[in-house]
Amino acid sequence: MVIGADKPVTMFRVLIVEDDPIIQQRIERAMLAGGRCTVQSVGNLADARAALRMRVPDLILSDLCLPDGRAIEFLADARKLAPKTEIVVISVLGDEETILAAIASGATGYILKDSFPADVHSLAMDVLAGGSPMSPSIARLVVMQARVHQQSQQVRPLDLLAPLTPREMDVLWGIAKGFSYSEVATQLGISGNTVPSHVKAIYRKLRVDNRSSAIYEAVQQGIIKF
Amino acid sequence: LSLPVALALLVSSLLIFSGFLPFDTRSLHHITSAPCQIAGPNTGGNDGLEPGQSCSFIIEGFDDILERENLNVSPSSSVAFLITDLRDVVKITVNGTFVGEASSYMFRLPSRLTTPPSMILVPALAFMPYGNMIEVTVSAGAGNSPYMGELFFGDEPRVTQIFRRLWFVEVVLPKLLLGGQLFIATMFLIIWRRQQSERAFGWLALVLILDIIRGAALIPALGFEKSGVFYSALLMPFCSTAYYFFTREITSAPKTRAVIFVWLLPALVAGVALSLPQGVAVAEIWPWGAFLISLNLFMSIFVLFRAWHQENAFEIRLLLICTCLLLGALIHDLLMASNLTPTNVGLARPSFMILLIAMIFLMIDRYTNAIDDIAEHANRLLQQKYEIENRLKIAYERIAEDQGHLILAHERTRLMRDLHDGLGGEMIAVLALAEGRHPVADDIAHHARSALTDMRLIVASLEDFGGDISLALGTWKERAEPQVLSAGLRFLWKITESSGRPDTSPTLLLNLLRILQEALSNTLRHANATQIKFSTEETEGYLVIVVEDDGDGFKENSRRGRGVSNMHARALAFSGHLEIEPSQSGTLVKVHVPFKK
Repeated sequence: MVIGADKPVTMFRVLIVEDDPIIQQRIERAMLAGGRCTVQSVGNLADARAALRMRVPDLILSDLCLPDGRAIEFLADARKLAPKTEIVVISVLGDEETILAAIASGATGYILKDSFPADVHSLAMDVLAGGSPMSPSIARLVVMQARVHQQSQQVRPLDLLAPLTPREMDVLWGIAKGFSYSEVATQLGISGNTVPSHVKAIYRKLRVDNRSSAIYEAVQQGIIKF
Repeated sequence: LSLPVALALLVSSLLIFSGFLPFDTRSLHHITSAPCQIAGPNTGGNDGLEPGQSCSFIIEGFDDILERENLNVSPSSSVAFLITDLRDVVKITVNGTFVGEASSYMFRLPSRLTTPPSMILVPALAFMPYGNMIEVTVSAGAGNSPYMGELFFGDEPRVTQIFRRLWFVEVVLPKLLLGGQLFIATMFLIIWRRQQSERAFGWLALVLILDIIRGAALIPALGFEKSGVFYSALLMPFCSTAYYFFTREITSAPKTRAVIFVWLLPALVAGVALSLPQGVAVAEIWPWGAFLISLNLFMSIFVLFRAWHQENAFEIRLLLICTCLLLGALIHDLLMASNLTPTNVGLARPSFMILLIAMIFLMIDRYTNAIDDIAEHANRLLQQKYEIENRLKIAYERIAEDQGHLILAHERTRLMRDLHDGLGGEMIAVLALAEGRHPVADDIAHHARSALTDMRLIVASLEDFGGDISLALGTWKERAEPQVLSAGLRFLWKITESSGRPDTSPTLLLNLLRILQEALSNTLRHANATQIKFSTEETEGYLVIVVEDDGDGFKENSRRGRGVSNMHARALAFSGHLEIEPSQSGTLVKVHVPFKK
């Protein structure tokens, strides 16, 4: 007997943009094994654009560096064309620069290329469910950038569409130190549901919709490499 | 000496001298000069009058004078007599009617300084068309012999004009000079107080102050008696001695103790004068005073002359000229006192004033020069400071550059070692396994994953955590948690805030993260645990990170044991230490990370 078989299960459409066939297959398998989704894989940006025009996906899992260019522009276009589409970036190291570029591209998170298949699928489902996961490294990066900005008038690589509120900063600090959403909520004395909405707000502020922004320029010019 | 100072000196000298020079009295009719000293009607000789006597005379031919002067003797106008100096009362009677009198303060000095002038107004109505008879009577109080200087006559406006000039010179000017002297003396005194090595300022102040005290006796308002004037004049020998010391200082004359005895002479004269009865003292002592002053001036001239070729020759020559001038004027006045000169105008006073002014200007010049020197010096120092700063900056930049290279070399070595320690070994294991006869996929995957994990640790250790170790731990948790969960264990994360702040250098972070990773790997691979817990404690000076599992514990000398000695070495590398103890229900690893001091 299959539990919930009588309910119609939502099938999410996932677009994987990854040029390395091994990684592409690995992620594709991880997603299909987890279920609840259909997957389309492409190996370059041109195919990705074509696929986007054909049918708007619910989730794009994208490498940032592809044979025919950097994905940042494609992702920006995708977000404009389909605002509801979620983006998760695929990275090798999950280092500072990749995270910066991912955030700037409007990604809600990133997965490592060697992630365990179960983790890849659960992150994707989490994002699709609107859970707005945020990893400690993303939170730390944002906190550090905001602090640099507060302390000096230096040009910061991370643009914010609006300043972060003190409560949002508190949430970021908690996440950066490795606490779970519910632990952060307990520490701050707020309800568990409030943390994801704060995180969503933070992501919105972090998105670089302006192509003249510093991060966009840096990525385009290859100053930030990944 | 700067040009402005020289000009100021010249102008003020001219002003002073013009004040003391005889006035142009051609606009007035000169009636008589010292009539009571020359054979007067009531006296028999040239020697002036005895105290208590009086002298009166008729002005002859007054009608002619009136006519010649073309005086408009209208009923509404007045005519006036001007008396340059007198002792003590002069009365004028016109046609038998008393019309006016003039009286004077009595403060004549032996050097015959003029007394304040006097003026007697006579209404024109007092005159008759013809046959006017004017009688002048000079009388004196008890103990004084009557005296009258020159007598002029003219219409009121002209007489008033001359009278005012005389009054200014003889009454107002001395007070102005005294006031100025007092001010300047105070100034030099302050300069000397501040800069005691500059003795010339002190001597000048002393000269000025002694002269002020003497001069104060000349001001009637202070109520000095005639005798007071005499006694205050006893200060002048002291004053001239002070001047002698001033010249010694200005010419940098050799300092000898013996010179102090120069002060004995004026003290001796003053002592004798004070011990004698007043009348005798006045009569007998003043020549000695005059002699002392002359002597001091002579000595000063000698000192100045000796320094004629010094570097400040202009100052010295100017002082020499002024001193000679003063000595000449003094001799002139002494002769005048003995009635050996035709004039009645004392020259010593104006000459002394000129000398004082010369001294004052020289010293002001010296002072301003010193200030200029200081300003220049300060500027030079400032410039030197900038130069040194510049040189230091360059040197500092070079050192920073060298240091930068050093740091870079150090970092390079460290990175190489880090890569070699973890990543390199794991990659070689991967290669060895893959190229082996029976490659086992799981083993290869394990070593590849370890290599990747270690690479991530290296990358993470290089990132910026803003000095906050909990952020570094939070980032590491992101990597650790999936490893634990995929192995089917529970992952507990109880890292809390610490009061102190440990160092967060890349070296420390990498060593710490490798220790934690090693502890985690040990638990996952060997311990058969169901959960692993990370928490923090604090002890004196240390942040303690506790890794606790509920597994089997471990035995020494096992494979696990070798990893443990590695962990100890890493902890030592950041001046921390490690405690590993089998707990009741597993293994307890405590990493002690030192706080920053």
